[in-house]
Amino acid sequence: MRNYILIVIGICLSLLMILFSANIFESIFYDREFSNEMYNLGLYFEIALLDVITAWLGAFIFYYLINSVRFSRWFHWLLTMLITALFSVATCYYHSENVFISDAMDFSRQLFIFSFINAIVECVLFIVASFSMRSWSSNCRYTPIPE
Amino acid sequence: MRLFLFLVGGTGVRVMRPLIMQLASGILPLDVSGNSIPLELVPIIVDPHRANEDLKRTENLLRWYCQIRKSIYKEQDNVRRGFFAAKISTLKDLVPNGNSLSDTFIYNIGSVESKKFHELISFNTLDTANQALCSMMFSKYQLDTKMDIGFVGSPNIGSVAMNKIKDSEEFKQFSNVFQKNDRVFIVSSIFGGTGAAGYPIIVNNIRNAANNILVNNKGDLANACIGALTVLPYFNIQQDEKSPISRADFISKTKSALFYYHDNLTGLKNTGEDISQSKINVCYYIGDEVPSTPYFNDPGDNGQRNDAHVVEFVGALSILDFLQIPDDLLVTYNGKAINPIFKEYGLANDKKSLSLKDFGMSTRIYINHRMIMFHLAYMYLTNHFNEDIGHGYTLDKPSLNRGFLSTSFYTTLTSNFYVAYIQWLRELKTNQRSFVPFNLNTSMLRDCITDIQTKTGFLKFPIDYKDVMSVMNKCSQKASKINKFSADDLPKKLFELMYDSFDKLVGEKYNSVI
Repeated sequence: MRNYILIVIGICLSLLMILFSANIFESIFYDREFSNEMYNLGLYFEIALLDVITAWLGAFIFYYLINSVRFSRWFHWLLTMLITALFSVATCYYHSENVFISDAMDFSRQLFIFSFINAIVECVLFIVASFSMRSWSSNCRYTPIPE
Repeated sequence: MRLFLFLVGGTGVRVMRPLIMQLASGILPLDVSGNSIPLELVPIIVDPHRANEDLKRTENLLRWYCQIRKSIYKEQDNVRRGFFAAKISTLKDLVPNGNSLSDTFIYNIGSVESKKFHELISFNTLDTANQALCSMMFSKYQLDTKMDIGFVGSPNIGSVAMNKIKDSEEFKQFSNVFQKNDRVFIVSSIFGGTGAAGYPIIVNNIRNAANNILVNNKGDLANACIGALTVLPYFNIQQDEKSPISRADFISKTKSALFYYHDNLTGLKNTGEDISQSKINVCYYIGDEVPSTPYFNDPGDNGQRNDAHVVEFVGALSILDFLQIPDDLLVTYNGKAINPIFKEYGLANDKKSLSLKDFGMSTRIYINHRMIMFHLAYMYLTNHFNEDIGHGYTLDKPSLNRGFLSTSFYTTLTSNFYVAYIQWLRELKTNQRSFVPFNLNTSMLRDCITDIQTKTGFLKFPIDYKDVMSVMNKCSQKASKINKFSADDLPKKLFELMYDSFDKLVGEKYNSVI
């Protein structure tokens, strides 16, 4: 029962992230011109969606596709989280930059700072996904922290 | 099923040792459908030589086995599956309170142990003619023998001394608790003193129960299903002119004893002709022509500690074989076995150094899988369990933490039982003919079984401790979902997980173990 509650909470938090992505990102980092363009072009929504999908996919790979005793310690989980974050940040950065370039805008510096914020958000999402779905994993259900 | 197991003399005690290891591995007798039969074993050691080192070792092993089993299964009787599944009890465990039995596996022949033989037969009170007769039948050395070291290879004095058995409290209580469906098995050597003498006496006392006023349950006892293992010469001893024991006498003693057994136990005569009746329902014979590494010639004064031998291991299998014979083949009427069965054992491969692959097919099918599981469990607990604490299945409730390593159960298992187990394997390896089921010089699971390879192939890696943990994690997860184990079931949790896991791994990771 507890495990099902955890996964429902995780899904709800992820949906909230997608629905209120602009508010959440702008509360952490706000540059008037950059943030306006991000909002107008719908990039907040796209980035949030990508973050959520990547976080849950990364967690799923760790807990169910790899699911190995040899790769089940906290530092293995940390490595997976960092790889997931790197992948998500890189994808979001290049996608956003392409959009700005196609509209003849240059927000390189702001985008760079935003990417750090996005990395932290991605890590948080990965933690949420991990604790939501780990209970059913046979070898990693106590990673990174036992209950 | 309950079996009263009489272990007579040094050989009886030595055969018990491999039987304990086989039972610890979870080997149980099977019924005709192949299902395990829950077993309660009541070993009764008949040997006046209390200081016998082999006896002490076996007694220790029995105690540790009982402690470990009690920790795992509490007082549960009908365990059909698992390491240490068979229950081992003392006679006192079976008898209601208020009796004078001591809580030990050793038969108390107190009056015999403390006397010299001439005192036992009251030689000095005999008249001249009887004294002369005794002097002809018994040597001066034998008359002066103090029987606290057994009967020093002399069944003639043993056969007199052992008659005290029927008057003992142990025999009386044994007769009280014996039930119709229980069985009796007697293990003895034929070339020694205590075993060769004790075996026919025990059989006769059981079959002649009707004439013993101290005995209850006369009918059930007289018609009990009795099996016996007679161990023929199988080891060599160093020649010592001062010792009453000599290997050169083994064969002559064996022949004499076999003739006596034929006439009085296993091949009864009716007006001079053999009749197909026997006092024993099933007779097993085992020996070996390959001379062993010569043991130190010790009649008993120095403790008599002999290395384990594969003949003892195979002999122990006869006990399990006996338990698997259906009741309708073990009919006894009026103290005589109808259609008695006689068995010998032959190896599949006559080699000087044996592995698990060298036994007959039926033996391999019966024991190999369980023996390998037990050894892998030993390897895991000895080499890797410490590292796994705090991870995976050890965190599932009830959790196994570092405190578990200092419990009396774990200490008894690893510091006592497993140490004895490895010592036993080492002795088997260095003896002739040697038995080397496992490689004792490795801590790797993939190399630890002699003549049996791990499966290899594309994306197939040899077994290692991580595989063990992975399977135990899965098994533990299933158990946790149904709250299978309670807080005081830690030993049971560990052993059941190991049993299920290794049962699976042996099938998956090794090429045919049979």
